[in-house]
Amino acid sequence: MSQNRATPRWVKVATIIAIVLVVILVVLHITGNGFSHHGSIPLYSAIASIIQNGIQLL
Amino acid sequence: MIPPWLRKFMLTVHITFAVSWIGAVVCFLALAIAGLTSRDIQMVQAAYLAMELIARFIIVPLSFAPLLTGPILSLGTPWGLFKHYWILAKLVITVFSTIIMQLHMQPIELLAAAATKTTFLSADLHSMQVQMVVASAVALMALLVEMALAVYKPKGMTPYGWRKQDEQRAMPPKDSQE
Repeated sequence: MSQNRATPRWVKVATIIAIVLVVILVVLHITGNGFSHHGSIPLYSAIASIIQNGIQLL
Repeated sequence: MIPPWLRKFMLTVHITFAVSWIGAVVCFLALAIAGLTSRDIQMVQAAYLAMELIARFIIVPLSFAPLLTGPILSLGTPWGLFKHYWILAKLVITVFSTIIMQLHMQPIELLAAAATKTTFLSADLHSMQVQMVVASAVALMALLVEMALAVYKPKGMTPYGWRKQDEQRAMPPKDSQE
């Protein structure tokens, strides 16, 4: 009986997603948008306004 | 291999820690959203003080617990720690989540300290407030992925797992050695 020893597709997809997330995290960190506490942060401010607007609509 | 009674005990402990971790992160996320969106300063202060307590005394200890019980369980059973991709993925997610949690302890402490000392949170802290919501939402997603991996156990052995399986098959049965 032959066994398929190739890496499963879900592992490949998960690896790609993980790499993309790590790259985003590193880019945010390098550009000063992650893990720090700066005053004006465009990305976080945008997310904040989306969350606040969403909750106000509810 | 560990005896069945010990395996069941370790599995119970492991599930208890993992489920408690998810529950604590859900509470943390609810408080982070309340702290970010509420206009009631008492609510905001209470939220960040509670978040610090939850993080310090529940989430951080619970993030280390599965790192201990998980490897014991997998190494004590035929599953192994590095033989199957789903177990390896769970280990990576747990290690990554624990590191991220440790990195976010400082902003949580700063927010809690600011909440106790001031009657309003300055715009400088706004990014940290959002960071708490985003980080806890990501952590929750990661934990749900881990839970799904543990339930579905998707197929797929690592090269190490295949090698170990080949070695075991090549070994003659114990009875024929005598």
